[in-house]
Formats: sequence, C-alpha cells, structure tokens
Amino acid sequence: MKDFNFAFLDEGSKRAIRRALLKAVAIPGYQVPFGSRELPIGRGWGTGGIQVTLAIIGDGDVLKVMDQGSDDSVNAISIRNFVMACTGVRTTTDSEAATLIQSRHRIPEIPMRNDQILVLQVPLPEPLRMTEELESVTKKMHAEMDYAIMWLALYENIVRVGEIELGADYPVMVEGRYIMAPSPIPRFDNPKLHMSETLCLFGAGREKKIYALPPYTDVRSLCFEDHPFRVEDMSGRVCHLCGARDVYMDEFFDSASGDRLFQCSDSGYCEKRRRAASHE
Amino acid sequence: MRAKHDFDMVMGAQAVFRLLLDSLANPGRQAGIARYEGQFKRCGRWLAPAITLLDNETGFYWNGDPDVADEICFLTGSSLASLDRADFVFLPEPADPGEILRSVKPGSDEDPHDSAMIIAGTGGRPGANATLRGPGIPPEGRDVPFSTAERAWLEARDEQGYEYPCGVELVFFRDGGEILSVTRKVAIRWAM
Repeated sequence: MKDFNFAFLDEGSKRAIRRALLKAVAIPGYQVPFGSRELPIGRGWGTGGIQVTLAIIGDGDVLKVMDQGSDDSVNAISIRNFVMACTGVRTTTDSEAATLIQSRHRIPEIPMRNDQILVLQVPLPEPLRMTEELESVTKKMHAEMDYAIMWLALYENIVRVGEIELGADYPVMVEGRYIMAPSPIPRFDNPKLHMSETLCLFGAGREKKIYALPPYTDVRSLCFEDHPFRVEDMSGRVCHLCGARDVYMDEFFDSASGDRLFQCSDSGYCEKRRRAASHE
Repeated sequence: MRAKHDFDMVMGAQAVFRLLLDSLANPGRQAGIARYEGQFKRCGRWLAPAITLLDNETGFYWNGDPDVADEICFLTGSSLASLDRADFVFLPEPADPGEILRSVKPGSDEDPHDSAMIIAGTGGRPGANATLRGPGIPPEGRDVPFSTAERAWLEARDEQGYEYPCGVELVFFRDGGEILSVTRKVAIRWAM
C-alpha cells in the first residue's frame, strides 16, 4: 500500500477514466474511447475491467471478482489479490454482500441491486467487427445507425444453418439506438441486462473503450419476428453439488463412469446454497 | 507545512466521483455533496467536483468569482475556455439557459461524448413537479420536484431540440447541498 497510490492508478489516469465513465453512463451503449493505461497485467487479461474497477473503487467497497462464474479461477484470484493489495478493500464471494462486482463472462445468478455496480471485462467491444474490420467505418455506422450489415449477417446465418449461431457475446440493441456487445456472457445472461436495477460498466483495455448501461435500460437481444431470441437450454439439468435448477450450468464428463455432471457456473451462488442447506 | 484545503485529493475525489456517477446513473435522484463544502475555505461545493473532474486535458467555463476560477486552474491544471469549447460549464451565478445551451458543444453523431456537462447552481423557489422517464429511471417513471430555475433549464434543453445521441448533461447544485442530474436521453413530462 505504501509503494503506490490508492488503487494503483495515478490520480490523472483515474480522472480521465472517470470522465469517460460519466459520458458512457449518459449515452448507454455508446463506446467512449479512453487512454487505456499500462498495468502489471498483460492486455487481454481483463485490464479494461480492472481499470474501471480501480477508477471507481473506494475504501468502503466490498469487492467480488469472478471469472466465468468462478471465484476460484487463476484470473479471478489474481485480479482480486491485485485490487486488494493496492486498495485494502474487503472482498467476498457472496454477490449479495458485494458493492462492486468485477466479472469476466458471467452475470451473477442472484439479481443485482441498484446499490451495486457490475464491471464486465470486454475483449472485443465492437459488435460490428464481425462484419466490418475498419474502426473508422464502424464508428460511422454507429453514428448513422446503419446496422443493415449486421442484420444481414444474422439473416445469412439463419439461411445457412437455420438459426443464429452466436453463443456468447450475442449482440444487443440498447434503448433502440446502439448495437452493443454485452461482453462474452452466455446468451443465458443477456435477459439479465434488460431493465436491470444495476449500473453495468464495460471496460475494454486492449481496444481502449468504455461503455455502460445505467439501471433500467432497455436492452434487447437482436432477433427476427420469426426467429425469436432464445437462451441456452438448461432444462432438466441439476447441479450435482447444490441441486439448483434453471441456472447456467457447466458440464463435466466423468471419464471413469462415463457420466455427464452439471454444476452451477456461478460458484458463489452454489457455495451459498450449499451453506444454507447445511444450516437447515 | 499547512494544507490549503482539507479535501482529500484521492479518497475525497473518489467519493465525489461516486456521487456524480450515482447521480448520472439515476437521473432525478438527489445525492448529498454538502459534507465536502466545509473541506475548502470557500466554494467547496464547486471546488470538490472541479478537482474530481478537471485536469490539463479539459477546459472549463466559469461565470462566478474569478478568484475561484484561478483556484480551480491552480488545483487542477485545467484552463478557462469559452462556452463553445468548454468540457465542463460551471455556473455558480444565474445564467440564461437558452443562451448557454445555444453556445455549448453538444457533441456529434460520431463523437457524442465530445459534449459539455453543465453544472448549475439552482436554488430558489419551488417550481413544478415533473415525471422523468428513460435510462436510469424505473419503468413507472420518477416524480421530481424542480425549482423554477431548474424548470427553465429543462425547458430550454427541450427547446434546443438536440437529436440523440447529441446533447448535454445537466447537473443541478441545489441550495441544501444536494446534486441532481438529468442526462440527455431523459424525457420530461411536467405535471399539469
């Protein structure tokens, strides 16, 4: 703590990121460019989310870091230890106890509240990149709300294979104005963004973009009238640890028995359920 | 060595930023900034957000005491700018909303973030109630009592007719040490 500033970043860097965050909140779904800073972590390992977290975190916050739903992955532990080391904040694995949650590729199963903030790490913030490689062109497309090429790509996908093949990072329309990449969360989590009570902040460190969804923002997954959006089918799957149903599951294969096992992807949620069950 | 202000440039700025973030994320909801007033010799309610937001990459407009503007320049490295170039427009003194809004930068379709944030002191008589709708506001809307000065700002904003995503953010500093924001996408309906 003594060797560097609170929350690692210098105050000038925080100020620049904070200004970008305020603009992002004011223009939901719009990608605000920012001067992404160097961190003691390689770009592509969550530096966008970390910079957002470091710019907003205060000594009264309680932090949860999750990676693909897990509190225990190397990425989650490394980020949590780093933020703890340079802020001294308390941490938790309980999403309900956290005031600030940084996540890679998942939104917690328990709906978040208005007094919480969700920070999502974003590898590719530009949803139009799959159809157009030039940043100058995609920027103009967003400006003119010219999303025909995106709709065409989705339509061609349906013509070719009968459905929209996109899994994670399924694009959404924000407030009927901007197409936005929700970060590589599974389609299962897309509906959680619609009218969420929580402020969601998205940081893309390598691509130097920040964007946001204020609470109660209209967020619709792209689809056609005759090809409605659908989430991954989790019906019939039961967590082998806590017995949960209707949540996003990871699938495991037991090579000895040949059994397929399912387990809650959100490890904090699963742990909380097991703890509650053991107290009953 | 004696510090010129008691404001903590690290933790204080973080706390003020979170107030602003919460305010902009939840338009029409009041947030208290009064506790930072006493941490400066004077004009704390203006210096606290100025220190939080400004640096040498930003320009600001100020219509109040020139000594305070000098203080802001000294503390932040920011410089005064004309209305049409200012990133932040601080209005501690009364101003004509229509004139200000005609002059400030509203951004462009390609760069809507290159727009001004107006921070205006808006004490005075109670005006009228309005229902706000839009991002940051529950689906049923948020009923907010506005002062006459705030109503003038909001009506001038609507008259200006910015086409989203262009626009400006309005942050009102109320007499009781509260701030209240209205972002560009928020729609306002006045009670009859």
